[in-house]
Amino acid sequence: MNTQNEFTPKESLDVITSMIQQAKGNMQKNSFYFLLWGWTIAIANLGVFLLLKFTEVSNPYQMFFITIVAAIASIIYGIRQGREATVSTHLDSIYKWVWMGFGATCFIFWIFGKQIGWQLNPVIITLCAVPTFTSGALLKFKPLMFGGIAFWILGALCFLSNYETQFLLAAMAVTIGYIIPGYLLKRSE
Amino acid sequence: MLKDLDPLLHSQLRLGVMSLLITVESADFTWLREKTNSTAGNLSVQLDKLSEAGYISIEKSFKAKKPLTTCRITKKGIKSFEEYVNSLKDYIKT
Repeated sequence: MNTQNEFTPKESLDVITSMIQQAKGNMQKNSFYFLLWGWTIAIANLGVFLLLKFTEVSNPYQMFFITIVAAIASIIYGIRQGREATVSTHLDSIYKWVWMGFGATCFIFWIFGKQIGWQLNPVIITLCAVPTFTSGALLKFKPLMFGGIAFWILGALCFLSNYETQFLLAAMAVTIGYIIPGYLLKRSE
Repeated sequence: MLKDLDPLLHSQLRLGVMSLLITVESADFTWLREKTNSTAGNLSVQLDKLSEAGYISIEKSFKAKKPLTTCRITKKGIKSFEEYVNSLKDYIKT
C-alpha cells in the first residue's frame, strides 16, 4: 500500500471493503476451554453419580473441587492468550463477557444452592445452553449450536429426573455440549 | 466534492489502517503491517499522523521483552471515518 493522495473515491471504497474483508473472520477459535471444562464437569458429575450409586461416601460432592483447578488453569491460560493475541475483535469481547457472565451466575447459584434445594444441575445445565449456543452462533460453528440445544433438552430432562440421575445427565450434557464440539473445533483450528 | 474528503483519510495506507481499526477493538503493529502489506517505516509514519490528529490512540508496552505497539480507533476517529464514508457516498452518487 502506498500513501499517495491521488486515488479515486472508487479506489477508496475498494480499500475500505478489502480491509474490512481482511479483518472479518478474525475471531479467535479456541477449543481449550470447551475441552478443559467439558472433561472437568463430566468427570466431576460421573464421579458423584458413581459414588452416590455404589458407595456410602459421606460427601461425594467433593468431586466438584476439581472445578477450582480448572478455574485456575482457565485464568492462567486466558492471561497468556491475552498477551499473545495480536488483535482483539468486538466479537472476542462479546464472547469473553458472555462466558464470564455465565461463570459469575453459576458461582451465585453455587453459593445459594441450598435456597434452590441443591437443584444445581437442572438449573446450570439449562443455563449452559445460552453461552454455548451464542458461542456457536458467533463462531459460526454448528456443533456448538447443537451442543447448546442439547443443554436445553438435557436441562429439561434433569428437572424431570431423580437427584442421582441428574449427575449422569449432566455428564452426558457436557459430553455433547462441550467435549464433542471441543474436539471438532480443535480439528478446525 | 473531492475537497470535502478528509485529506488525512484520503490516503491509501491511512484509510486502510482506519478501515481495519474500525472493525476491531485493538490491533498491534505487526497485525496492521501484515494486513495492509506495508513496510514498517511507512506504517509507523502514517500511524503517527493519525495519532497526532486524534483519530487513533497508540499504546506502547512490552511483550516478552519486545516492544509492543497497540492501536485503537478513537471516538473522533470513528466520527471522521463515518463522515469520510458519507462524503464518499455523495461523491459516487453524483
